[in-house]
Amino acid sequence: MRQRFFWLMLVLVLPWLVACGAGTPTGSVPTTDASGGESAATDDGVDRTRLSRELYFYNWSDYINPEILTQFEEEYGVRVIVDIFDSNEDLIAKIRAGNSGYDLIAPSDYAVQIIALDDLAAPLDQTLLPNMQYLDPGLLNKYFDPGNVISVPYMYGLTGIAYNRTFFPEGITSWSVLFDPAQLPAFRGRFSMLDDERETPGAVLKYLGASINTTDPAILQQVETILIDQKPFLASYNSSDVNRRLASEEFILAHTWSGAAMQARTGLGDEFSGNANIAFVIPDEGGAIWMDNLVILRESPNAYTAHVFINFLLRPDVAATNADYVGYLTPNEAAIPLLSQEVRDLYAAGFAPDEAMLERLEWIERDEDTVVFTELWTRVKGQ
Amino acid sequence: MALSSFEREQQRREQRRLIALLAPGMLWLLVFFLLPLLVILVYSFLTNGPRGNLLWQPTLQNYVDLFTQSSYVNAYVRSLWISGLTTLFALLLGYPLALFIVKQPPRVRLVLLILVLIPFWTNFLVRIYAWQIILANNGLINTTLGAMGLPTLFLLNTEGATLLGLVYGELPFMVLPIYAALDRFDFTLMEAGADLGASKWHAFWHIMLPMTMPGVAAGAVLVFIPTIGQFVVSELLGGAKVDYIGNLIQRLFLRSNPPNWPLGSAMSTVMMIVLLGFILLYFRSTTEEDR
Repeated sequence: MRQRFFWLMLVLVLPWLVACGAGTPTGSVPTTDASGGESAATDDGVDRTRLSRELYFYNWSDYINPEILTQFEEEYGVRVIVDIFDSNEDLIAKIRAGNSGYDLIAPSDYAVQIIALDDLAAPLDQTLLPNMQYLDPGLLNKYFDPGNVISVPYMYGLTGIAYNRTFFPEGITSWSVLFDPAQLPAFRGRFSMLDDERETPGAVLKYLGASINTTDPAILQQVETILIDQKPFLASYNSSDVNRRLASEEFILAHTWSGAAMQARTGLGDEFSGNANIAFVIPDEGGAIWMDNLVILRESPNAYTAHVFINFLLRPDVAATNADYVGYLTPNEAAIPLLSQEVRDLYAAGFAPDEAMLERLEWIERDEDTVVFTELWTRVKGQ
Repeated sequence: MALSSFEREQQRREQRRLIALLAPGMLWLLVFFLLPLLVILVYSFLTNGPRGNLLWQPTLQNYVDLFTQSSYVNAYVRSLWISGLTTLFALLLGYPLALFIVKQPPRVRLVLLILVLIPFWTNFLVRIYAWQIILANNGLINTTLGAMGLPTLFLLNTEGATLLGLVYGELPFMVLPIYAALDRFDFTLMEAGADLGASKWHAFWHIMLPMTMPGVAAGAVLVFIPTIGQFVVSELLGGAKVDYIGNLIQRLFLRSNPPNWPLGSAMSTVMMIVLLGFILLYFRSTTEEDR
């Protein structure tokens, strides 16, 4: 009885205590860190009185290391709640409606452009993001957000072929393994393509030596035929759990993202274990490159906290922990030496681009003409 | 079967009382069911903007596209076809099952009915993932076949797997109404039929089936309607290789660049009209037989 009363009082009093603690101008919250190390408020220039208690982050699935969320909460007392979307269009539909309740989102390149045009993003205050200095300049200032007014790179990746070396001991160098009718029967029912109206025709366009953004009807007609001819041999169009299926050898070959291949290779947390035979290649004909970015919503009341969180994610040690787990590529140059040896080796083994590979990679862009891809894809799926 | 006029009057009074009790629920449906449907109807006549934003320019183009482009028409036909097959298989499996359950002693019956319902305790999606594990290239069936030295089969990511998943998921909705109808059925009528020289099959076909038809019709509607709009089963078990109308609508709303809500709305509207036709058919066919 008495004990219960004690707990009740504690619960009632706690918010007040916390409020007081946060109100102390020196920020000397004595509860967690007595050593006064790097997490002391005065060091990092973060005004803890302005932090919210919670931050709502709308993100892709399996796309942040849960450990760094715990670390952020320990260091700043902000709980980050992560919600999942599974396509940019899903995300845009949600935030366009307004009142989404999210503070921070992770749209891909072209989606950043749409979000900017729809005026849904808050302008970034770069003075609050000193850790942007660590980012690879080659990944800043891209077509979708010149000057990085609203977006900061989060992770980037490549689209190519993941395969199992046991079945392809000589390796793979060409898209023909997926599109040449003579080669396909050998892998019938053992490979997948992305379920994506741009990536999937895009792979065929690369195979044909065309630009991934071409809307030339004659070329697209060829693309359509090739995809329809491929279908009888295909296991599935799959953008969701290719990583698991490659790891379990349900699939031996897949058109997929570098990060999904990396996850198949190294495993993903305690969700599934990796398969040492998985390799990833950008074929000689080329492939796609894309990037997901952090954007603060205009409607967010917690923009300051969101900036602090972004800056935290850009800290090299945090970015490395995150990229080790997620398997996609970190745009943070200073984080790369801090990655685990295994991941660094995989970066060198083709999971990350080098100068030569960058030449073969193309960004998928969207404009009014690219609606033809929706129609093409519908025709492929209508067969 | 026939009710006296007094009983009938009483029944009507009861109905009026029910209507008063239902009013709050009706209001709820009006606001949260009818209104969204109205929004879909309005959207279906709008123009899609360059970024998937809605333009308030009325048009009939969405409906024209829908009936003229073969890939859209195909999706409708494919959906009707697989829903019909699902209903048929559910009926062929569900009727004997319901009959078997009805024939058991009451306590066994209860246990069997609970067994029919138990799958509902687990989320449908989880159960469909379980089917992936059973059907996969290195799944339960194929590893068993492999261990016995038999050739393995491609089971997952086929239209057959989609059909299997649908029938599996919808079967209880067929069994329960048929069970209810059979429960009310007077089995002495079958004996009477036999006494008058009817074979078992004859008695079934001319007595039992017609008298339990309302249950069959209710089951058919309960199976057919949810099946026609499904998109998850064909994605998870069918490998997302062909479009059913549900997949197409979902993609137009949430996947394509730019999304096309007006066209998706037009497709939903047409689908609803088709389904409404089926429901009307159901009411037509049952009310007469029921009374």
